[in-house]
Amino acid sequence: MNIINRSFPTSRRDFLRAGLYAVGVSAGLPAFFRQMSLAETANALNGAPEKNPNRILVVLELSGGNDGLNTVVPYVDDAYHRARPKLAIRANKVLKLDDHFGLHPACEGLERLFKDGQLAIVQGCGYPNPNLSHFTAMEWWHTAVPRGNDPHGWLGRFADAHWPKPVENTIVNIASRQSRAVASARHSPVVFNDPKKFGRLGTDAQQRVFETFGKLYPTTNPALEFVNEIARTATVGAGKVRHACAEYRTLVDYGSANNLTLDLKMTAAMIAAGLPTRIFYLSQGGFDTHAAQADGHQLLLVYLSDALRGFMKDIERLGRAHDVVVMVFSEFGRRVRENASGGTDHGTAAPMFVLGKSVKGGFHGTAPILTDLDDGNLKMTTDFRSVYATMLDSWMGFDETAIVLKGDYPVLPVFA
Amino acid sequence: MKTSILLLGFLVVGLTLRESVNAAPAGWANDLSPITAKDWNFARAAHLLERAAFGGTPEEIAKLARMTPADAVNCLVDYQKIDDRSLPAFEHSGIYPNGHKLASLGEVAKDVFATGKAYGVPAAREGKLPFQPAINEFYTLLFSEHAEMLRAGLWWANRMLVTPRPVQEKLTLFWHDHFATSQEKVANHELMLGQIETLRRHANGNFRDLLVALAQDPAMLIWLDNRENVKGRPNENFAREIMELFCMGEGQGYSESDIRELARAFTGWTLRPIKTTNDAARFVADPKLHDDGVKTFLGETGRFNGYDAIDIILKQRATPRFITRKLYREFVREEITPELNERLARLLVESHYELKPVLNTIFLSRDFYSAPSIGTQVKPPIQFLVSTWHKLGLRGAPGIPDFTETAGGLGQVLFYPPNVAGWPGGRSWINPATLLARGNYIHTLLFPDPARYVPPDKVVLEGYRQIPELFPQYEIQPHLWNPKTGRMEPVSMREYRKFLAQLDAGPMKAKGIDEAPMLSSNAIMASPGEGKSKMSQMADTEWFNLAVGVYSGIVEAFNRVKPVPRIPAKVDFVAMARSAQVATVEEAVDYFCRRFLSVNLASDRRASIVEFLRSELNSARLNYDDGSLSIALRRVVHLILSAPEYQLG
Repeated sequence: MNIINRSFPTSRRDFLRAGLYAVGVSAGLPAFFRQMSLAETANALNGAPEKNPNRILVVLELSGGNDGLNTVVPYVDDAYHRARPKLAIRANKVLKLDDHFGLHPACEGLERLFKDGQLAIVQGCGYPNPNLSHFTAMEWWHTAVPRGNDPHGWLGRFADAHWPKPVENTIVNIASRQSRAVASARHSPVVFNDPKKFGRLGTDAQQRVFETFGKLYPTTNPALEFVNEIARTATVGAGKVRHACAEYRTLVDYGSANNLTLDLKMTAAMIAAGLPTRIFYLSQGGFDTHAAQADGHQLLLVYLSDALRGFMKDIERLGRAHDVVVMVFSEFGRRVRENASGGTDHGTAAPMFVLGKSVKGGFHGTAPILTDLDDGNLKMTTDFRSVYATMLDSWMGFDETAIVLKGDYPVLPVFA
Repeated sequence: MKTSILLLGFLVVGLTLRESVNAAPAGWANDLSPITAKDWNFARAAHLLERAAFGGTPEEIAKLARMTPADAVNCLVDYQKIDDRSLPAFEHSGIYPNGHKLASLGEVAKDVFATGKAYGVPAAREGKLPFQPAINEFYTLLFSEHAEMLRAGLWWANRMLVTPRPVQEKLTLFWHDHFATSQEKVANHELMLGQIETLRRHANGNFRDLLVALAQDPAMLIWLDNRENVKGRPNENFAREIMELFCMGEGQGYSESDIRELARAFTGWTLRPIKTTNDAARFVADPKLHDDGVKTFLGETGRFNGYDAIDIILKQRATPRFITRKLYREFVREEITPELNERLARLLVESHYELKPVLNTIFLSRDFYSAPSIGTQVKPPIQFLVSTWHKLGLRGAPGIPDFTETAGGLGQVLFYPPNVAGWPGGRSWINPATLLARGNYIHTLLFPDPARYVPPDKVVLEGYRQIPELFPQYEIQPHLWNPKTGRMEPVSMREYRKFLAQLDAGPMKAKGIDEAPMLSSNAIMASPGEGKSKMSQMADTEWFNLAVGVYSGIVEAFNRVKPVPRIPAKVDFVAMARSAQVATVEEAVDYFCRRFLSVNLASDRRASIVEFLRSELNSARLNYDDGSLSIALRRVVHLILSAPEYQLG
């Protein structure tokens, strides 16, 4: 009766087979493409073969402004303890990474990854003349063009430049609303957050009508043009994502059942199902800790650290550990001095994380100096666009980063 | 009978005129001069109701179309004349039977040591997990707060549907988005409802009054931390956002130093703690906490307090521009031209921040009825839901499917904006998932199955359901909602497992779609032994167990919070078609398109729906004696309301 797409394989085995050979290949392609893997198909469509067609970039946004100083703690620095009489993490509590820095005690998972050489911490990331508004700062991190008002995100522009002929599902954004970071001129990211509901209810006869909703028609109404494009992406992408997530089983402990855990598990599920997705964009909120920070921040870091550790283990279990890298950022760090409400106000530079088996673990860049502040805020030492350039160039194998990032930013030795 | 024939005449005239709306003269865009009575018609009246209110039925549109445009706009905007005393008040469940409100465990720790009580109940007990009672009551209050807030969201949505003053509710929703405050942090549904009532009171009034009321609003004082903003240790959160998000816009002529100085002006605007039901939630301007020093703010110097600061902000050129730009974006189009923005800003200043003149000007302007303004707005989820109910002719918010669950899936839960900037809105409402979810909502709305419907407000959250099974050592009694008794009732583990298995199958499975339960494992379920997450370790101490607290809290919260009535929508499409004298399948499709759509359906899509109906009925003509007509029309409406075109208003 009400079947979303009868032709869709229903057992896991069928699905995997289909996933490898048929799914995602648009109907009009020559037959020989269908014998190729999805990544190879994407390659063939885009001309020159890609150096690393199996590599995947997962970007995780911590929104609200994560307190970098209480995440990667300069535990021997007196200035840190002076500025934060209530909130400073004591040296005996810190999970020590070296003689100067340690992780918040909630970050056992990240500590493990660091010790295994799978966590690179890039210190002091920011940009000149920082903006302390969440929305503006986040927009600048998303577009990578401060004050540029670019309608597209850095990942969207990268996808446009690197894969000028889009393959469906190249970009997946697990969210209730699309991030500016993946806004693209050519690609239409698949955006969803509950795969169970990613399909259309209706009779078989109705499904045939729904197919006309997935087609594009000329219109002078720009809003209608936009909705039509979304309808097309939905018609093509939904079934694959739903099945990938529904089929997925893992016993890896990702921590508590929060949004981040679920999002990372879905990411693992889509990787396991062989979707041609190359960019996953995820976000976790709640980091705007103006008041009563100690407990709240601890919980957020437990979520983060547990989920990232679980995800890396799960990816390893899937045999894709060398193909997947996670980059973690927040729109800013927080003020060095704690406020009177047991919290911290908006700040500037903060560390970024890059995680994965292919990563050169350890510290990169220089940490800002807590006694040399700019109006109470840390001075950045690494431009975040250098980290972006590194992800695009060293990881995704795209060396024309200056076009995408609208400026030359040195690549960091984050990958061996 | 006579009136309905008369009405029908209007409808036919109106519906044909609708086509002419796109033919509005090209010069109308960006022209603020009012349209005249000769330009006024059914289609324009429909557009007015679509944007200024929650859409209209053909009867309501026809009534408005019979007035002059000035009278039509005036009777909508100047709604204070309309009696709304018959509107139902929110019925509180009474979630504080012990007289204590929600506070963090840290805040009640002192009480525990001093009195042995937490939240008015004994904090500890003998035996296993001695501190479990305090934890259980904490979670009960936590889940009750949220469940009661969501009930209030449904109450508000219903008010949007049934109010005789729809513009008031639409503006209240606009201000809720503008002064975006979330229960997520406020965690007190009474304060949240109080804030909405304040917004409603000032919705079309004076912006200064509104701003002062919000700066002193208890929920706002919590939300942006101004209750913590005290002399010597200023908290800048409110100061930043009142300029950036409430009045001026980011980068519009203030500096970081202005933010710091402004925070000092607002020091001492605070709130007394509200721990019990006897504590009044009242704004206090505490002179002891106020920094009375000299401040330099936006170029002025003086011993400013909060009122002075607000007046200085209202004097900035950026402020009226920002407010009118936002109103324009809400009601007309995404982008306003600088000239138009300037004219509306001047109007707002000249009227001393009275909002009605601006609203009247916008809704009467040729610009509002120009082609680029019509059918070009993505309906926000609440607008999509309420206007759908309205156009279906419903008299109350339907109970199936669940309102909160739907609105959440579409990205807009009332009282829970994502952050202080409000909902991003515009095109961001639509993505592949929300587009499909909108269509699926229509499906469940038109094909409800009350017998099998599991009310999501009375099912333990995914991720927590398995707790009784996972902690056998604590002998947790599993509970299920019993609709007959209206309470959570104890059940055997076998019954419980059976229920969960059905539930995990999900709505698609019930419809015959292959789909397994996904990702329901969590920390609490994770494989024991190697690689235990920090959360798994924390959840289980010898003094108390958080998982046990969560389960117990949810069960008790479900008992405290009144259930949502699960009354399905009753719609008679056959009657609609008959009264419009629809004879053929083409006429039927066109009739429902006109009733529901602001944008014409692509001709291919229209043709495929016509073909669908023809094949459902096995005929090109409607046979009103055929029992299968009703379901066929239902399916047609489901298709039309799932089309990309229906997402625009």
